[in-house]
Amino acid sequence: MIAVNTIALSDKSCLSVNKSEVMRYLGVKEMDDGTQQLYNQGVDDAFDAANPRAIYTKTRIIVSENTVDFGFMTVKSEKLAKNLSGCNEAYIFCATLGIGLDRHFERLNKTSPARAMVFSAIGSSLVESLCDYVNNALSEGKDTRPRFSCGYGDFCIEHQKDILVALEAEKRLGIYLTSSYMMVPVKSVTAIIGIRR
Amino acid sequence: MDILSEIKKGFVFFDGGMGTQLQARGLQAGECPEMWNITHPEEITQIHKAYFESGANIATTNTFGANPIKIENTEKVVLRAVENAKKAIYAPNQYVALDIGPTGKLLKPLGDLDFDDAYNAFKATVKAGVKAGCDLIIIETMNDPYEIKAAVLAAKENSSLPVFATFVLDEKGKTVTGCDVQAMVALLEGLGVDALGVNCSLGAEELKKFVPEIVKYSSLPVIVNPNAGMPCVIDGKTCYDSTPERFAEAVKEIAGMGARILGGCCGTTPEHIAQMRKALEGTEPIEITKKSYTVVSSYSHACTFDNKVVLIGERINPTGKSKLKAALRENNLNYLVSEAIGQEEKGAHMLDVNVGLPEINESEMLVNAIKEIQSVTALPLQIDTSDPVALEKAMRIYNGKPLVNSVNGKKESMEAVLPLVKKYGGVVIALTLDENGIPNTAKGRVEIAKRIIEKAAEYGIEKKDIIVDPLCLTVSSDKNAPSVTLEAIEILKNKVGVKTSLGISNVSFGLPSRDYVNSVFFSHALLKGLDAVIMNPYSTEMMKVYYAHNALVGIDDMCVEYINFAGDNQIGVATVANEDITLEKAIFKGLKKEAKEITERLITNNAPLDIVNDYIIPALDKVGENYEKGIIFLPQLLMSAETATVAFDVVKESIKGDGEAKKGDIILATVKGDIHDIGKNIVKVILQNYGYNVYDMGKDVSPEVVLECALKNNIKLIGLSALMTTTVPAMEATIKLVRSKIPDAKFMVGGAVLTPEYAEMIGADNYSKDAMEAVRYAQQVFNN
Repeated sequence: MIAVNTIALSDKSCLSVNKSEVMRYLGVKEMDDGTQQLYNQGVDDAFDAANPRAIYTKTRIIVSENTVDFGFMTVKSEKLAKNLSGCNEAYIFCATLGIGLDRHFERLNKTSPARAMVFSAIGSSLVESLCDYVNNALSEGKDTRPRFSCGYGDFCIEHQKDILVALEAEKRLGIYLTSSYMMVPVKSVTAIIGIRR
Repeated sequence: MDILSEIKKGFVFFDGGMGTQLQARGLQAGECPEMWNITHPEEITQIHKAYFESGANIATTNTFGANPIKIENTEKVVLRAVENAKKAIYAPNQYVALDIGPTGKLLKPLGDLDFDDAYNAFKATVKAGVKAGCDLIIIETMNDPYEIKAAVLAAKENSSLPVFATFVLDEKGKTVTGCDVQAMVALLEGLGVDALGVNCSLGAEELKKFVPEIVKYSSLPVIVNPNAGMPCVIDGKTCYDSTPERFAEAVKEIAGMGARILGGCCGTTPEHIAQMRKALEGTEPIEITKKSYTVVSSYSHACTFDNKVVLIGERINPTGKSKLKAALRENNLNYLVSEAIGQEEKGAHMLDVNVGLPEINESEMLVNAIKEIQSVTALPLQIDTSDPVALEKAMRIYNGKPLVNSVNGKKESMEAVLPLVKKYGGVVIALTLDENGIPNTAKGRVEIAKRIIEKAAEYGIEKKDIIVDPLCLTVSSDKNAPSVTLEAIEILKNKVGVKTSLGISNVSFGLPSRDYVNSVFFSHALLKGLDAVIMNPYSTEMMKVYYAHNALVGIDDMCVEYINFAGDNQIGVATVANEDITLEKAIFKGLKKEAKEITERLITNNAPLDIVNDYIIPALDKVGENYEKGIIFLPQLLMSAETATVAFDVVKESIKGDGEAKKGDIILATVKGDIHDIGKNIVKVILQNYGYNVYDMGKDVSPEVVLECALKNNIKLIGLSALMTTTVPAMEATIKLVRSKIPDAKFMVGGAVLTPEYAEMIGADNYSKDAMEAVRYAQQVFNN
């Protein structure tokens, strides 16, 4: 069993929405009045629904040419091995905005796909901001690598399960995995941050 | 003596954590703890024995993850686990609890596990536990009320053992799925568990602040099994920050708050249990008191029938509603969803759900409707059916403790409905009629109510779980009818001491402007103490009475709710439609309300089809063109499409019936394994706008279901969407299966991970980059 820490998030001030990022997700080059309205409403709804939480662990790693050994899992991935080269430790974190966004999304999805799609893009930006916050908190004063998640490049998505089980993310954060390796709540992220020697 | 008698006598003590004890004996990270029942039986028995020696009365078997979803050989593991625990017993007051933890999967609609599959997994564990001879069942560490319901039903239906259930709270006092304490207590009491409470997640010191709330609502013994403090990391190992002494002190306080069954969870050791017993030596538990709340619940919150009248939206009931009837016949659940959300936005506290129509399968429809409505609203529901088979199915899958509409004084009705209310939990509406009809006097109706209450008591249903509806007859045919009803409410409230409800609108049947009569009658009933009303939340007259009454009798603090309501409904200020906006402009800008108003105006002096051809289609064409040119973007295209749908609906209503010819039938489905269907929904709206008839199969759809629909409706074009690389194989399987029976079926596919090459590889005819490309391909296939 590995040691898992909680990142203290006293309120939602760790969250922010990056408008240009949302526009990029939506494929919108210019914000017209209608889309702007959807956006404003979506931001309010997403902040209301969000219940940000995060946990992490620090683990020793052994990096070789195309595999990384985390102790609780061994990952075969050249891209990940490259990202972590020169590291002998790594942080692994799970962050989520909580199930409230899924519930609200489901409601919009069945009544207004336009609102649903904008809301979902805002949620993605919001969870990225949460990850940035967690990343900064963990990296402070250390020489760390850009974070890397399963599903990137050749880092197999099946490892999502290993990470969630190791961090007991179901019990601690209520993150579940579907049989197709999709996390619920949808606006959840797991990532690895290499720590340089 | 059995465990339930022990609880009546005094405190009962659970053991502490299993995981840390196993690690101390050499369990490795990643190793399956349950397998130790088979590979290390002596160690397991030793752990149980150590807990018994430290003063625990209940050994929790090492079967937390022993269900067929998580492990193989469930039966063997459970048999051995119970055996290992029983071997540790050396005194008469020591018992073995079969431990049932969560499946590790989230149930539908947000997750991908079926309620029935969860039930079957728990059933397997329960059956093995019973066979092995455990003394009780403890369902624990549950996050989700729906999963806990499946587990309790599995335990109760497959054993006659005492069933305990505990859930997990976060530091805000809710489960991670967003359920509050009162709703959990209502659900578990309704299901008939023998004790309930919380475990894990927090230490005793953190958990203690939530104990008073559990005790406040629970009429059952309360269990508290906290962790050994909050986790911290020392030298790379998880530790808990509470010493056995501090843990024991906090548990003593928890006992003083009214908890009676105490023990430990993660990180606790025999020493914690020993210290806890020492701290509680000579202390008597607080007496358990019966609570009298009348309460129903959803998956997130409870609705209590006390101070303010509960508004139950009546709109999801086909009686007299031709649009709803049509929607039910067409299996159009979207219509029900919009009615549910509409009523919630108008301020309903609960929703009545009645889908009874002679020509449809009511059981199936009721189950589907409840699932669908619970996927979009957290309001508790009133299940409204006269078919006991449909009622049972609906109560079983309802996520929460429902309101049941209804039972009456007929023997047949009571014998059919009351056992279901007892088994699944619920509050039931009792109508004051019997074999002889509806009595003319208040006294006669009260007598029937009393008979129902007595009969319910025989089934073990308390008066607090009955709400009497003394019925109101039409004033236009009997001028005394309303007075009789009001008198009955008064007697029921003050003499019988039972909650009351009314379906209000019957009183005005046959009269003009019925709302005026209904709302005044409602205010009279409120003064008699009415607790709930089945009504139309869209009726401003009724809502006026509700908010004004609450303000006037002092239950709307600072009149805040009334002021908000009045602000939204300024009396005497009519909204004037902006004459400058054309329908085309409204569609361009996505102004739904305006589009509706303009279309309603146009329809008075234009032929319906002219509105479609001269206004809506040209506007849509232009929007589509602008999108393809990159002048506007997807959100705007969708808003325009949704607005055009509103205009179409107005036109359709005026045509009434078949009228319009569709350009072609298309199936849309998100494939098996994929539970995200926004892409499909976007394509659906646009295709419908362009005149195609879409069979929307939903998400996580198996190949067989697609084939069945295609065969039944003679479909030639099928659109499939997949979001994850892991579900693309399901897409390929669907194409293969359908083609094997319908060789000329055409497939268009789309989704985040697809490419034209990938689409070709799996045998699709077309890769649609976006919704407009799907339209273009459909036009090509159907030659229009």
